[in-house]
Amino acid sequence: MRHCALLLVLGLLCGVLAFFALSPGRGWWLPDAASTIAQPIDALFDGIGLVILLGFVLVMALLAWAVWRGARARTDRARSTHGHTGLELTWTAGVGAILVGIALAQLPTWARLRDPAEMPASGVTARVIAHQWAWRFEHPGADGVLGTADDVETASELVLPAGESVLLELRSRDVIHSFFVPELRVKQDVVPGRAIPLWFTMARAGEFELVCAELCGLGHYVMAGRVRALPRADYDAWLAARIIDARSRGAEDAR
Amino acid sequence: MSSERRGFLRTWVVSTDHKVVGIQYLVASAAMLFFGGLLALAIRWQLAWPWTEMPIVGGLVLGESGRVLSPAGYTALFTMHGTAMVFFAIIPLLTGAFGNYLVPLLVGAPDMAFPRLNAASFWIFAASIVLFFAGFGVEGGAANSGWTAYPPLATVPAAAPGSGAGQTWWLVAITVLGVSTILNALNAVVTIVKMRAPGLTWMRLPLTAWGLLVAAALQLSALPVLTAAGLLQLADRLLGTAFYTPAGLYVNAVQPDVAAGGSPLLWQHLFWFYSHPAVYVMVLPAMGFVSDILSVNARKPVFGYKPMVAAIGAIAGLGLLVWGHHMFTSGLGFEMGRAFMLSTMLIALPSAVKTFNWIATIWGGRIRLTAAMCFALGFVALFVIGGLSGLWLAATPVDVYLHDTYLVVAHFHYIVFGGTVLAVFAALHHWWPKITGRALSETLGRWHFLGTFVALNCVFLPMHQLGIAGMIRRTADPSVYQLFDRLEPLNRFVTWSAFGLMGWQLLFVANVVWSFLGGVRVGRNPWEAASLEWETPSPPAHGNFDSDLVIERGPYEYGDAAGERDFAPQARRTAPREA
Amino acid sequence: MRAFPLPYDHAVDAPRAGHVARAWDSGPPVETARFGTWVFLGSEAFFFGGLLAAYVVLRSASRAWEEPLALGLGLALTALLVASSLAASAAVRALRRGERARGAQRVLWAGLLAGLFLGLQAWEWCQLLQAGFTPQASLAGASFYVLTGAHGLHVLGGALWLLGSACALRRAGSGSLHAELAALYQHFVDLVWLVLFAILYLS
Ligand code: HEA
Ligand code: HEA
Ligand code: CUA
Ligand SMILES: [Cu+2]
Repeated sequence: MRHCALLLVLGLLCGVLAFFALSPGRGWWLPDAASTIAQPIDALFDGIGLVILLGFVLVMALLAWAVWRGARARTDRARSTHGHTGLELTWTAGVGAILVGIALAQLPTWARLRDPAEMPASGVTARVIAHQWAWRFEHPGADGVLGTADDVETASELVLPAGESVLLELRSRDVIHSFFVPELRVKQDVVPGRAIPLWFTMARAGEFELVCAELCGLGHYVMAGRVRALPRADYDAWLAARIIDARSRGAEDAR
Repeated sequence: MSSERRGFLRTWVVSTDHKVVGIQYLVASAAMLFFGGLLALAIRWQLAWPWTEMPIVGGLVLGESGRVLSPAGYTALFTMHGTAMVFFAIIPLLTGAFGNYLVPLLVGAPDMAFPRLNAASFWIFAASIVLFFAGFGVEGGAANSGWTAYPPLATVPAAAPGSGAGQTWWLVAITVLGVSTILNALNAVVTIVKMRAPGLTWMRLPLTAWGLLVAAALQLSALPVLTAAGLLQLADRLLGTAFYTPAGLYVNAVQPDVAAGGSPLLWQHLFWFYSHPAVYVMVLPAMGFVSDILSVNARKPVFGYKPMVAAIGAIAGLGLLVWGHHMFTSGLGFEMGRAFMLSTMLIALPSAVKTFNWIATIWGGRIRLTAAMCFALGFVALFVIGGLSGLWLAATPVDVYLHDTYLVVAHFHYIVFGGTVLAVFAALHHWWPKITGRALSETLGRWHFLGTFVALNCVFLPMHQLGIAGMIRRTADPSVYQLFDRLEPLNRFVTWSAFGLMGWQLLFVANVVWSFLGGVRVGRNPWEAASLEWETPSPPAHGNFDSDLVIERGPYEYGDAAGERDFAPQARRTAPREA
Repeated sequence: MRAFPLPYDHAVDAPRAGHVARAWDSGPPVETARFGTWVFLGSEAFFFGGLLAAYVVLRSASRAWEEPLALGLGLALTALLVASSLAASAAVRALRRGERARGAQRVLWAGLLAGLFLGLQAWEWCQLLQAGFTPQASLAGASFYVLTGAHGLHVLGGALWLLGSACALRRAGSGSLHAELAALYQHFVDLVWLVLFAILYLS
């Protein structure tokens, strides 16, 4: 019986560890990072992961040992202890210190993500409009102001300059959606009735999948998009071409 | 038993005996657990083999017409799975079934403080189950905006095509259930505060009673807020008000014909103000059961009784202050996010204290690996896994990435299934002899534990990897994204394991049947336990105790100091009555 | 299958009929019932707390907030409810002195005054609805009807409880406990109204 119990606890321990050790190699892990904020976030993830791992191994080891020993002796009685103030204080203070440490460690990253003081002053790079079940994007064009004739509109694909900080304005036309790009480690709900700012810096050029992460109705699962990061020169060229497009289309409409 | 002459109806249907009400709750909520499990299988089928014909379960859950799921069907599935499990299975199992059965026994009272109110709360619960199922039958199907029912998806009928009336039924069912739960919690609090036997001081109360008491207090304070929020959402849906509907919506390219100006985030605050404490309602009583069972089977007192009580209180108190951690990415704001992160970090501390006290309780004990003990040990191991992954989620920058991914799903299933459901099985094995007068099979019980433990880890462990790889929850078909393609084997593995897990529960059903047919009859105190419920006959007659009790000590006097036997009962019987 | 593993106390003793008599066999003692009512009121306070929190949040986020309420009417409503509460107090005092008939009469008055409150409020609702102050028209309207509606339902409950206990007082030898608890409830409902009055009519 107790062999069985020991095997179970140790099996759980080893199974969990082995599975976690195996996963990154299979791609069952954090996708390759593509933004500058990803680095501190992944570091926090790893750091807290380590604490979790140690806590888990400690608890399992203690549990296994206590059960192994305790299930052996059947004849005599257990020693009746009601507690130990020193022990209580030790583990309360120990875990408390770890928790406070974790709390403090993440404050700078949270500030970089959400503190309004960190918002880039350069103005809105693009407006993101979410609706059931697709994404639309508006760029301010050459004049840097949204809502003018040279605005550039795209659907499904958001093109942004790589290597510099971008500022998005998130809006929804109907229900709550969520702007999630796993490789950039950014996620922000898009709440109707509000314009929510979101900023980040893409570390490299490339194409990244844009996921809607908040339940938004039956088409939630198909509300996919793409973020394409271009080097600055390519981005400017892309934008210029689209502005001319938009103008000529406007002219056609006028005729 | 005297009940034989009172007829089936009087004994089992209209009785006000707290034990009968508890058993009624047990049957109803176990059925809901089973139903929620079926829905979970349908969810898993869809995630492993999207849009394919579902065998057996499909016929049961979707009806003959709909063996292949529709997108709306999938959203309804997880909405109703979450609702059934949280509100109709786990909470009623803990506070309704065990709460009702155990509270008077643990405090030495003949019944609940208000027996008729108690019976009423069960029947209101039954009515809410009917309302819950009624939602499946209406035009457009059951509610499909998640168990969290975020507006405007939940309030603007046009936003969730298919869910015309389903959401309204859902709201009504939840509100009615809330009334039942509040009455039930009221009874528990009054009984424990006012009807303790002579000498049963606060510091002599078993931790099960503490867990149930504090959970009931949480219900009384947080649940009315959900009721209020639900009324506002009902008004939005039925009266056309706009508490949660902001201005300027275009749904399906038309401006919906509703009032505007409200705040969608208001609902989230009110909902989580209840539903975060609700997760502790789902774990505090379970922690109580486990403390008692570990102590009895390790033949040692609970280590650090007072810190344990303090931890229960701290979890409940802080639990009312951390709801914002479900909203880190909702546009909550920088400072609020920081404040809620800090309070969430703090709330992990009392749980850690409890964990170490459990280990210290069995440390150096003389452990009897009964089935109940196995399940209780399983609870500790799995609660720790679920709790620790909560630390990832509590860290705001990490949660920005992990929010609404399967890591969240893994986190809470480890606690609610690995933790609470195992604790419920532990409690069933432990108190079954008291409830029925017959033992469950230990052998079957241990096999049931073994398979359940292995299978549930196979189900919920890989969900961590799914979440870390970015797979979002509430998606009907992860293959839409290339990023998630490589996760297909994991998803299939999880599904196979879920089928195994569900199938393995048949062993428990078999055990129940075995117990009724041939289970050993037991006396008053088969486990040599010290607390009060074991002073009664098994099963206790209406009125519970057949002698007057004087409580002389705490509930955990086990081990060497205790006298001729290795435990000292809590109570001295005075004036025993002869039959 | 193995035998039951723990041999101790294997002897099956049949449950003995009946149970030990306790003070609360004849129904809950006064203390328990009163405590239960207090706990219930605490829970109710959270209910109204939730509604009021929603009100405050919505109102502070809105630019326009028009509540075309007549202060005079509000004062009249307040007077009715306070009077009901006072009558209930007087009833309890009379009952404590053992004057049952007088107590019953006062309880009846308390219930009737609460009923009057509801009547007046219904009239106010009609007026406001006709004036275009509807729940659909504005958030202010929606909040007004939900707040006063939820409160009104509680007044209704209180009134029925008071009237029921008035009947009970007339007939049997019991009922004074009910009257006392109903009075307590009425005070609570009154208190909630004072808060509502302050935020709806006075600001
Ligand atoms: C019974 C249920 C239960 C319990 C007890 C908990 C406990 C905790 N939960 Fe969980 N949670 C849920 C059920 C539960 N949760 C559910 C259902 C959801 C999702 C709802 C939805 O969106 O649908 C959720 C979601 C959720 C979120 C939101 C995630 C998101 O949506 O983005 C967060 C974030 O902070 C969180 C955190 C925590 C924390 C910190 C604890 C802590 O209380 C855990 C404390 C325990 C431990 C820490 C382990 C024991 C300690 C030790 C072994 C000592 C060693 C430790 C150290 C060295 C630190 N939970
Ligand atoms: C609270 C309890 C609870 C429990 C126990 C479970 C149990 C299970 N859950 Fe669930 N789940 C939730 C609560 C719960 N869940 C919630 C709140 C959500 C979120 C919903 C939302 O997003 O809105 C969710 C969502 C959720 C998802 C995500 C869906 C999505 O986001 O798209 C998945 C996916 O795999 C899943 C799977 C499972 C599985 C396989 C089980 C298995 O463990 C099931 C195994 C089967 C059983 C447990 C039944 C066996 C019982 C008996 C045979 C009766 C026994 C008799 C007695 C006890 C007397 N659940
Ligand atoms: Cu849009 Cu989910
Ligand atoms: Cu929470």
